[in-house]
Amino acid sequence: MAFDRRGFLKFAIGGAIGSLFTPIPWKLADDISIWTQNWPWIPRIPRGEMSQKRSILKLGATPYGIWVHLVNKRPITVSGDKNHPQSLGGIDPVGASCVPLLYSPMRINGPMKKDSNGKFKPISWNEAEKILSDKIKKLGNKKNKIAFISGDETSSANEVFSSFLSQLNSQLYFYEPSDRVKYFKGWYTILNGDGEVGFDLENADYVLALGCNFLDSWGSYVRNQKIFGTKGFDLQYVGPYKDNTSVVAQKTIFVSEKDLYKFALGVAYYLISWSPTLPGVYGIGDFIKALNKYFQPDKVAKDIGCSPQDIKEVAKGLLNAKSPLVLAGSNTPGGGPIKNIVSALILNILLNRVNKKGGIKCIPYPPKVISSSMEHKNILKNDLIVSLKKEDLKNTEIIFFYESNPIYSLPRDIRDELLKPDFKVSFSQFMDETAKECDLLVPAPYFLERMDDCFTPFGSSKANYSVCDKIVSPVVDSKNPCEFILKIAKKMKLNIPVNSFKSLIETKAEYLGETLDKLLNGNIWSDPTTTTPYALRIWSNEIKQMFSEPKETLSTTALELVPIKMAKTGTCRTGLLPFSLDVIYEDELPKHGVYVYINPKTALDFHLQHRDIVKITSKTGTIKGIVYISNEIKPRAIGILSGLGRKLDNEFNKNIGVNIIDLFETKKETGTNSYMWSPTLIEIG
Amino acid sequence: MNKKKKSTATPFLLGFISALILGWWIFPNIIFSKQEQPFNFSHKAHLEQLGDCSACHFYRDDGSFSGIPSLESCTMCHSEAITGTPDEKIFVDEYVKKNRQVPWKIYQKQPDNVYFSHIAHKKYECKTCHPDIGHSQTMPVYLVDKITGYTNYTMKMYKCERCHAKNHVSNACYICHK
Repeated sequence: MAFDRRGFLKFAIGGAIGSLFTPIPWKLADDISIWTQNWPWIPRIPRGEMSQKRSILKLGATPYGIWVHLVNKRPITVSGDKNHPQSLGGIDPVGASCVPLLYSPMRINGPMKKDSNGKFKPISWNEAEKILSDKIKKLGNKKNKIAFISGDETSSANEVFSSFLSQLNSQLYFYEPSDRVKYFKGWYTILNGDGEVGFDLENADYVLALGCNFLDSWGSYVRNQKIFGTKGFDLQYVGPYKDNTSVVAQKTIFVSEKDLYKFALGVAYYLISWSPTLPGVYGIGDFIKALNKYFQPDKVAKDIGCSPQDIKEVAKGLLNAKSPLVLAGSNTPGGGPIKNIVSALILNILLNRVNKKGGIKCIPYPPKVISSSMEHKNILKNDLIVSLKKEDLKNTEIIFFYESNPIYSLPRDIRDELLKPDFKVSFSQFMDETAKECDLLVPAPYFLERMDDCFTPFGSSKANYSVCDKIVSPVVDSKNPCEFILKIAKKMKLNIPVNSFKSLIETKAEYLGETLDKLLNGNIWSDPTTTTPYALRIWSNEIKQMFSEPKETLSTTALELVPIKMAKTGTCRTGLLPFSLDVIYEDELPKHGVYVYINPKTALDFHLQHRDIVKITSKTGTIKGIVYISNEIKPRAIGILSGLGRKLDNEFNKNIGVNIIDLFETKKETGTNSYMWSPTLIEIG
Repeated sequence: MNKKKKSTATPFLLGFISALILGWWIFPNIIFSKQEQPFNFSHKAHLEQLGDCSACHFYRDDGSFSGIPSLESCTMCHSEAITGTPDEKIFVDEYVKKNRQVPWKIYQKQPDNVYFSHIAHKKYECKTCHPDIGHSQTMPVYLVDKITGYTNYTMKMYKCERCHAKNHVSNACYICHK
C-alpha cells in the first residue's frame, strides 16, 4: 500500500469522520461557547465565606438599619433590617447603591488643604490638626467666630462638635435646613407643643398627605413604604404634582404648594362644623371665627382652584376614619412654607390625634451625655437661614460642614452667605460641591468604615436608638471627625469630658439602660413614652398673620415651579447613584438637559408643543428645558426633576440635567420667623 | 496497458482509528490541566469522626449554604496539630499559624450566571450531584478545562434540566438564571 495523494485524502476523510465519534468537535464547540461567556473583563463574583453584619445607612436620606452581606469580609450588597424600626426590612435606591459608593472616585483620599492657586494638596493628619488649631487659636475667645453645620441630626457626634463650639464661645451650631427643623418650629414655637413630632403610621387607617411625598423620598420613607405595602391604609393626596405617593392614593387633588394650608383650613371648617366635641386648646374660639370669615370651603375651593366637594370628601374621610393622620411636607427639604406644616398639625389636633394610636406622637428629645454640649432642642431652634439673614454669621471666620452639602442644596443667596467666612472646613466623605469650596478637607470615614449611632430619625413613631460598628477597613485615609476634634480639643486644653466617640456612645447606651455590646449585636432601644403638650394653641397673632398673607397679584405669565423629587436620584451628598441609572426612565431624563413637565392646558395657553425648547427664568437664574406635556402636573405650574446639575467628578453625574435650586428665591414667610424658597414663581418663554 | 490500482480502505481506517485515539485518549489530556490541592484532605477520616457531611458543610440560619469550611471552622479542632499527619502539619504551619484561608480548589463551582440554591435541593443526598468522596482518603484529581476554566466535575445544564424534568420542576430560564 502506497501512501499517495489518494491515500492521504482517504486518511484525512477517515480522520474527519472518526473525530465525529470522539468528544473533540462537541467539546470544543461547547467550550468555545462557554469561553465567550467568560471574557476576562467581565467582573467575577467573589467566592468565599459569606457573612452579614448590621449597619445603619446614613447618606443624606433618613437613616435606617441594614444588613451588609459580605463575602470573605468584603461587602457585596445590602438588605433591609426587619428589626430596625426605620427599615422594617426595606431598602431604598441609596441603600442599593451604597456598597459601590464605598469605592467611589468621589471619595476624598486623605486630608488636604487648598493652596494659593485654589488646588487641593495632600497633607498629613498632624499638619491638618496644626492648621486648624492655629486658626482657632488666632480667634482668641471672641464670640461666634466659629460656626458649624451638621447634616446628621441623629448622631452623638453633634454633642462633641457643639461642646467644642460652646467652649470656643460660639452658639452658632446648626442642622442643615430640613422639614425636621420646620416641623419643630411649627410644633414647638408656633403651636406651643412639646417634644418632636413623630408619625404613628403603623396604626393609621386614613392618611391625608399635603404635598408630602412620604412614600418615595420624604421622612422615613423606607419604613413608610413597608407599612403601606404590608398593612395599607386609605390615602388621599393633595399637591401640585402626581408623585410616587400620589400614584397609590385613592384620590389626587391638584393644589398649589402655596395653597395647601388653605385646603387644610377648608377641611378644618368641616371638622369643626361636624365634630360633636372640640379639643380644649388655646385659641379655638378665634380660630373658628377666622375659619368662618376667611376659610369657608366654597371660598377656599374657588381661591385655590379645586372642587368644594373635594374638601368635603376629605373632611368626611378624616372624620369617619378610626385613626386618621395628616402629613405635610415639601419636595425641597426645609424650603417649603411652614404654614402648610402648621395647618396639617392643626388638623391632627382638631381630630384629637395627638399622642393617640395612629396619630402624631410627641417624641422626647435625645439625652445629652456631654454637659457642655448644646441640647438637640436648642440646635433645632437655631434656624440657619434666619441666622444668616440676621447676619449672625457676619463675624464668623471659621465654618465647619459635617455630612452636609449646603452649597448644592440651598438657594444661591444662602450659598453666598455660607461661603463668606475666611476658613472653611469640610468633614465629608465625598468631594461634593461644599467640599470643593472648602480650605481644609478632613475626610470622614464612609458609614461602613466607622462606628456610629442614630437617635430617633425624623418620621419615627417613637424614640429609638441604634448603634453600628465598623464593618470594613478604611478604603481611603480617613478619620472619624469626632476623634479629630477631640484630639484638637485636648491639645487646646478644652474640657470635653469624653475620651473617644466610642466611650460617648457607651455612656449614652448606659444612660438608656442598654450596653454598647447589646446595641452592637442588633438590639434597638426604643421607648413609646411621649411628652404631654399642656398648652397647645391653634390661634395667636403669629398664626393669624401667617394665615392672612395678603393675596399676591400674579402676573398672567407667572407659573409655579414644582421640584420633582425621587429617591432614585440620590441625595445631596451622593448625587445620582450607580444602580439608579437603569431605573431613571427616558421620560424622566432626556439625554441632554431636563424635561419641563407642563399641563396640556398651560401648554395651550403658552403656545407650547411637546419637545419645544424653553427658557425658564426666575429672579435668581435661568435654565433651559425640553417641554414634556403631561397630565400629571396641575395647570399654571411646571415640574422639573430635582437632584441633578451636580458639579461632581464622576461619570454618573457629569453634565446631567440642571440644578433647579438655582431658580429658587428665598423669602420670609409672613407672620413667622421663618424663610421659604418653594414655591418660587418663574416665567417661561 | 496500465493495471488499474486496487482501491483500499486501509488509509481511511487508519485515519478513523487515529482520530478515535486522539479524541478519546490524547485530547482529554491536552484540554484538561491537572492541578494540585494545597494539601490532601481525608474526607473519610473526618466523616468517621464527625458523623455527617453537615458537620462542616452546613446551612446557615438564613438557609444559605456555608460551602467550604473557613479557616476559623477548621481551627476549632486543628488550632494545633492533633493527628501528626504531614498534611495536617502543612495546614497548621502554612495556614493556621499565618492566619491564611486555605485556597481550596472547588470541584463544582457553578458559573456566575447560574443561581443554585443548596437548600432547595436538601432532600437529595450530597452524592446525587457531587462525587462520592465521603469514603475516600484522598482528594479526587482536579482537572481544569484550559478553555473554559471549569473542572471536569462541573455540572452541565442538561443534567440540571433532566433532573428538573424528571421531578416535574419547572425548566423555565428564570429558575436558574436570575
